[in-house]
Amino acid sequence: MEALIILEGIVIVLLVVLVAGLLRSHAEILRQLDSLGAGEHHETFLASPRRQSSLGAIGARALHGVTPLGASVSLALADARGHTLLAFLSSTCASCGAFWNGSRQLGLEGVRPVIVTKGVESESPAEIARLAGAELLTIMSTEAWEEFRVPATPYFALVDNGSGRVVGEGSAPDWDRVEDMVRRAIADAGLHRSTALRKADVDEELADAGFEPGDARLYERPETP
Amino acid sequence: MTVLSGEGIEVTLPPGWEGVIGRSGAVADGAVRQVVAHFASFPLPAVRGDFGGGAVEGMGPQDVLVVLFEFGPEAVGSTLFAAEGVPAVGAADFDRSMLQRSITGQSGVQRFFTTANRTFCLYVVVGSHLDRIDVVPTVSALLGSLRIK
Repeated sequence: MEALIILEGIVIVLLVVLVAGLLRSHAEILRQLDSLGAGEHHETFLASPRRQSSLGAIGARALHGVTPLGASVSLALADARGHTLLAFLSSTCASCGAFWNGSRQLGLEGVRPVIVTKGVESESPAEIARLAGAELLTIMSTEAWEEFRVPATPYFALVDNGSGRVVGEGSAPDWDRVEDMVRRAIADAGLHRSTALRKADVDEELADAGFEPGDARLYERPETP
Repeated sequence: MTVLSGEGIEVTLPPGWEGVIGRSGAVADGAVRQVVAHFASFPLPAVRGDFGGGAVEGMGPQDVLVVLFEFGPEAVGSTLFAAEGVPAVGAADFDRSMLQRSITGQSGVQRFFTTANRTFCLYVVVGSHLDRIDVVPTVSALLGSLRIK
């Protein structure tokens, strides 16, 4: 009888430990999902640092990898112009569907979206080619996932190609929400845009209007009424 | 500086430049396709023609596009590809009429050559013919770094 009571006590203690462990694990999962913006609202696109954030300067000046069709690629992430929006997706990620199937050009001038999957050792190039299509640049690079400390998918990082800094990162449920968040992140970063970059913007706008450097029209005296 | 290699081609990209070395065409249909390399001082779009169509339209005055297009082995020994080695390109070589697609302000240069028993067309486009002197040294450095096996 005593042996049964002792055995029952041990079982109860083990069950208590098991339940406590499960509750703790559940709480940790919820906390991590919340920090990634994968909770109910999906509105995270952080412009301020979080744990293990890749915000700020990154070690890589370029993104290296291969396309699903086997081409070697190096994309500039610094000393260049505009922004690069890296969309880290996976073929096995259920919530990435909206980004594979809904892939399209963002309505943001100067922002180039690039899909980044893990390398060929982790993903099937044929499957990625099928999912990604040809509209967006797609690069397979495990190195990039490590560089940007991708915590889960889908995950986005916005890089200012001038400074080589990550100016926004996070998760979102669809391209429309990503577009909103990118616009916000650029607006925030724009407050600190350097004189040299603003000068480059002016040069670009003049070029778009058909004014090349040295154009005589730039030196004409304005007509006075 | 970034070193990019593929298809037996290796190049050192200047800061801020990017490149893609692969096979012509955007679909995996099993057809034999030529090697094409695009090196650019501006963000390359996803969809590009072999000779830069789709990319040159977005070039700014200080931008440069360098294209290497490989022809088949049947071209080895032909007169068009008689020049040996990767050619050098100078400011005087650029011509507005040399463009595959004429765009105001731009100019280009095209050279055919053979190296390592492979035949190539080198095609360079500058965003501003008037300011090409600013970018020619960078183009020369890039071409000087090209290694083809």
